[in-house]
Amino acid sequence: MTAKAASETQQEKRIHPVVTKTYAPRVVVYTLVPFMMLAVMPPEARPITAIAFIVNLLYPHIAYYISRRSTDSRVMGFRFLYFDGFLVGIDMGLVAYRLLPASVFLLLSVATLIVMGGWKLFFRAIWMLPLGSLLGALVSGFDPYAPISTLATILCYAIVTGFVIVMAYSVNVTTREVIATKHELRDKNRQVLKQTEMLGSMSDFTHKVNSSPHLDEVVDAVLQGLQNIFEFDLMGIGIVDHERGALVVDREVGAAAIAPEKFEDLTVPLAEANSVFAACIAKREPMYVPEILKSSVEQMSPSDRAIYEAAPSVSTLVLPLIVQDQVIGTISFGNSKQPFDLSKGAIQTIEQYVSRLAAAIRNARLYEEAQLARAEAQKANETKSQFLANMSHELRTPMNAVIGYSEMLEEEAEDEGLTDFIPDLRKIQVAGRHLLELINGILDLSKIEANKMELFLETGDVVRMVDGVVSTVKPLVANNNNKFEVERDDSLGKMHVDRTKLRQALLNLLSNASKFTENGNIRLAVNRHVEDSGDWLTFAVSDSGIGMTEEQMTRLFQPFTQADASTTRKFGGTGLGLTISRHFCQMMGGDILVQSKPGEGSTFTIRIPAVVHENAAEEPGRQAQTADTDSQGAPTGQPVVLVIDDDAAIRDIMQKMLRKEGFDVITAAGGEEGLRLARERRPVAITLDVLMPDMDGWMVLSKLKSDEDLADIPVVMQTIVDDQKMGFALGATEYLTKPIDRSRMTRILRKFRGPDAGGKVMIIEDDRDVTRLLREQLAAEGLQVAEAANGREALELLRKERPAMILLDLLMPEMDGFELLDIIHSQQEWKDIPVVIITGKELTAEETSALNSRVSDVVHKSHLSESDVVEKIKEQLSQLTA
Amino acid sequence: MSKILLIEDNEMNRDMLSRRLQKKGFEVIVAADGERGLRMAHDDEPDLILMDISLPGKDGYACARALKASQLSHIPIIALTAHAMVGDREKTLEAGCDEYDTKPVELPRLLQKMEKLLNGAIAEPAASAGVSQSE
Repeated sequence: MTAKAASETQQEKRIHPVVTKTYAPRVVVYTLVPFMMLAVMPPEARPITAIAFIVNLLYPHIAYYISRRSTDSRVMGFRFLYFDGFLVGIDMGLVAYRLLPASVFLLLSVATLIVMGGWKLFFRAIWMLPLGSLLGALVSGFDPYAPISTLATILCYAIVTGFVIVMAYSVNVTTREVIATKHELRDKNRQVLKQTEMLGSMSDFTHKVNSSPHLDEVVDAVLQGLQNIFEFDLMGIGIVDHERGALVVDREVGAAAIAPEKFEDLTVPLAEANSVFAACIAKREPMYVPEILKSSVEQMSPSDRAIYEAAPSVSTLVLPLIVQDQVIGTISFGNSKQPFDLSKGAIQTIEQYVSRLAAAIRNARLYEEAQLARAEAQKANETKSQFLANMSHELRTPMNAVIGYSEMLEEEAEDEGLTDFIPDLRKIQVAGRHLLELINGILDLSKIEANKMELFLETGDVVRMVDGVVSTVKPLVANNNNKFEVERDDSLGKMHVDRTKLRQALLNLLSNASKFTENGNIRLAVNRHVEDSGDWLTFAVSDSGIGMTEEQMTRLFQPFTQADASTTRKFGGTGLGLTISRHFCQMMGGDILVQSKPGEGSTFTIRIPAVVHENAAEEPGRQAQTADTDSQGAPTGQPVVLVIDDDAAIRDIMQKMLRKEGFDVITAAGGEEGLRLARERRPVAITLDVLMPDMDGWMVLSKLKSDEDLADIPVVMQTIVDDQKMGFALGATEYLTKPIDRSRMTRILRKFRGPDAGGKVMIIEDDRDVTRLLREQLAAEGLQVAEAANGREALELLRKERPAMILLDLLMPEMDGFELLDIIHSQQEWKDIPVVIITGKELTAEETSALNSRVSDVVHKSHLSESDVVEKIKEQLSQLTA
Repeated sequence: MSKILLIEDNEMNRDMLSRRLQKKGFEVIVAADGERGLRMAHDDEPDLILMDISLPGKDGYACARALKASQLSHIPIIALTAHAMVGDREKTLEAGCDEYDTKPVELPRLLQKMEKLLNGAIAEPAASAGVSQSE
């Protein structure tokens, strides 16, 4: 329906169709009838004929005028239909029931009544006809067979014909209107169906879109989804670049986007006038251009025109992409061939759909950027490793000379009897060898990091290798006056491993043990056991040395760190050996595990498969099954923290550390497993590594954040990848770099634990409104609240349960705040509870100083609604738990 | 007295090792690169060749292959490489070297290997080559 037609209906609504539809037939009939009467009536009845002539001629107009003017045109319209019967009846009587005219009148009456009002009106109003006709017959009598003139006959026919034509036309118009209405209804119906269908499939697209971190896939899914419903063959995405103050065309897809290179470097300055894109961002609402005419291209803004020329479309719809109330860009749809017609409702639906996608699009973009950044970082890392490799080669060459010449000089000094020089020459050698070891360690590490370290697998006898190592290390063990025990079966059989690397790792553990133990025992136990997870060899090196705290163990496998900085000074060593040894074992699909207690010695266990396969290190969850058997244990009712890290040692450390903090810890060795556990267990917080084999941490993070159910779980990144910006952009709550900073990690995670049992905040306040306001604010922060209306009630509550903190009003009935404060401070068990004074009173200097020593903060009631009051309270609480 | 050919590009290493070997009673001739080394091997027919692997121009692998393909294939070769890596050892043995040792040279160990080869003993796989790398 056009707008014009709509406005007409609007006006006509006040006049009932019974008025409008009867006007035309009435005019035709009542204009012809008087002439017919004139022709039929005898000349002696002229005065009556004249009156009837005038009445008939004017009647339709008067009836129409009155009906239109009346307050209820419908009622008036039907009244005139009754009157029609009466008037036609009079005419019928006046013509003395002459057959032909009377039949005409009868026909007009009956037809009009039925057409206008159906049978109901017909039966109600038809009696007016005989009534009128009797009145007319009073004047003209009854003479049905009286002859009528030819002119009268012709006029009779004319009246019937005219009436029928008008009526038929009217019926036709009505029918057409009915059909049009029907079509309109059907269209509307279709539109509703379409949108229902769209809404239905929307969740489907949204899922598809959210589950993909790749922008191309996201974009394709969006376009495909919408293409099913709307005639779009072009879709564009622009991203706001705040630094440039412009919208940058990111990509254009669809059947009509045939020349993507044309979109490169296309930008729309945000301040550009007349730009549909700029307007869309400024107004934050969809801009719909139903038809872009060739002539209107001239008037486009320069940027819009450039975009249009890159891919001309005849209709376009531009919508803003809004994430967290920020316009991050635009998404535009177009059709290159025919204009599309979108109803307001359809645009709303698309808008709604797009709003759900905005976050996914942003995440996918960030992910893409992250991938790029990662690739670059990796390249940089490889370059670094290459540099290190080259450099250590360059460093090693002069070292050879230093060591070699000092050895030579030592030999010569011996030969020539210059014994004074020998100790110093030995010192040069020792220092030289230490330096060389460091250099070699760095080279090893850089090879490991650059993934250039290769395994050389060969089959050999376990016992032979062990015996070889034992004989090498024996003098070393004896150095510190240690006893050496070796426990090994003769039937350990063959192994297929990188023997050099295994030997190096074992030697490293044994030499460390000898270094850190004096006058003690060192024990090597070699075992082989077949488990479900395979055929394993273990080499356990135990000592009765100084041992380590857990804190020290966490740092153990970090390059360049020994358990304690002072140990380096005391015992020497590079701190690289253990890291490298562990990498070697991990490359072979095994690991090195540590058990230790300060003062009680340590046990380092090498655990490797007896038969190592190539790419062993890439096997997923390689030793997760063994190291973490109790990690998914029964819930203890404590808040759960999920640790996602591919490094078993980190998982182990985190587990121990967080359990001490009162968390229930679940661990996952990879992204997929982590996501599954997050869904199943709904942890209060997640710690997440970035570099993992199956799915990297960025991807895990963006999946977590795009899952409605999981998006609220705080994620703490814990990684060697130093890219805070990326982490925060993808929605991480905190970003920590490895090695684990124990105190920071626990401090952060404590925040997510929620209040301890009995960690309530007690509000002591007689004003209920203030209590309610505080309670709501505290509850919103997840804090538990206890309430007391005066000092006495507060004391009762205090005796039952010690709150973590007290919010205290000063002026209260029964026992006021000052009094209560005195009591609280006199009690040993309560005096540590921090008290925040909430007061409406202006405190005197004297009161302030009296309070200052005993309360942690004073807040005036007029500041209560400000959120920093709650922040202050939270801060106090967290200091308390810290 | 055994004649040893030392092929080593680094002057200090060359000087140091040749002097130490001379002190141990060997006759040592030196070459600073592969080409010269090969020429001297042909001219002087040493009893044993000590050869650095990373040489300018023709590297140690190529020299070893050339020597083992010539009529001098009976002369034992000990390869000296900078840092003991698994692949290096394999590559030197593949190229035809009879033994392998790492730099910096631990003289007693090297002497042991040299004696073995000079006395015609069959080369044992250089199993203990990596041992000294640990802490």
